[in-house]
Amino acid sequence: MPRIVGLESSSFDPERYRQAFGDNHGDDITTDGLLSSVSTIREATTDDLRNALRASPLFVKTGAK
Amino acid sequence: MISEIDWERFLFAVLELVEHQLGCPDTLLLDRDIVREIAERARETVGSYNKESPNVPKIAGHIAFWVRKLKPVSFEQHATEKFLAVNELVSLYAALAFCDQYHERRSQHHRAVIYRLPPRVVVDWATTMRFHSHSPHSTALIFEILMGSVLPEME
Repeated sequence: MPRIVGLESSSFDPERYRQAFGDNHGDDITTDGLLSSVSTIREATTDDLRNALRASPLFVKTGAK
Repeated sequence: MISEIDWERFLFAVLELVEHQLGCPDTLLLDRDIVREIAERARETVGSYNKESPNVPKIAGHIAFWVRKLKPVSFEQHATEKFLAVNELVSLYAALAFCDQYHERRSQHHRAVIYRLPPRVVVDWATTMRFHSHSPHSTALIFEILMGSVLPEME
């Protein structure tokens, strides 16, 4: 015969369960805001980053001998 | 909220950024149909949080996941140099641009985290996104941590 297990007075609350991912404070994101962030990231690009990317084994030169 | 974003315009700007970072101007192609697919998939999986307005790092994680999964970026035929993890790099920087919109965490410290990721971390991140398994939710968690308050203030 099967058994059902569980505490007699479980505190499981379906309403709270549905809110498991709590942070609901999204901001208003606009395309222009995103473009502005991309532009700022571009200005912060350093030669160190470019050198690291180009030194990666995943950076390949086609037709190179 | 994210349904109002002009994805093609945004990702085109990220491609320009990545061309600049790689030192490979005028070499990248963006597939318009896949961009539309990314927008649809991201809208659906972000919806899994069942939140009216999920915070920005969550959206960033889902965008990063779908860009690296669906791979809308390729190189022109004439390109003589290629970065094989270009979709992964685009996905990372698209997500970081989203994180920069996180007004609640938009201190100089958090913006510095976005703009000054160590080059080794950027390369490792793009590489692991190419080779290993990442879910939309685990990717979102990475951005939650990145934008969280666990790092010391850097002024």
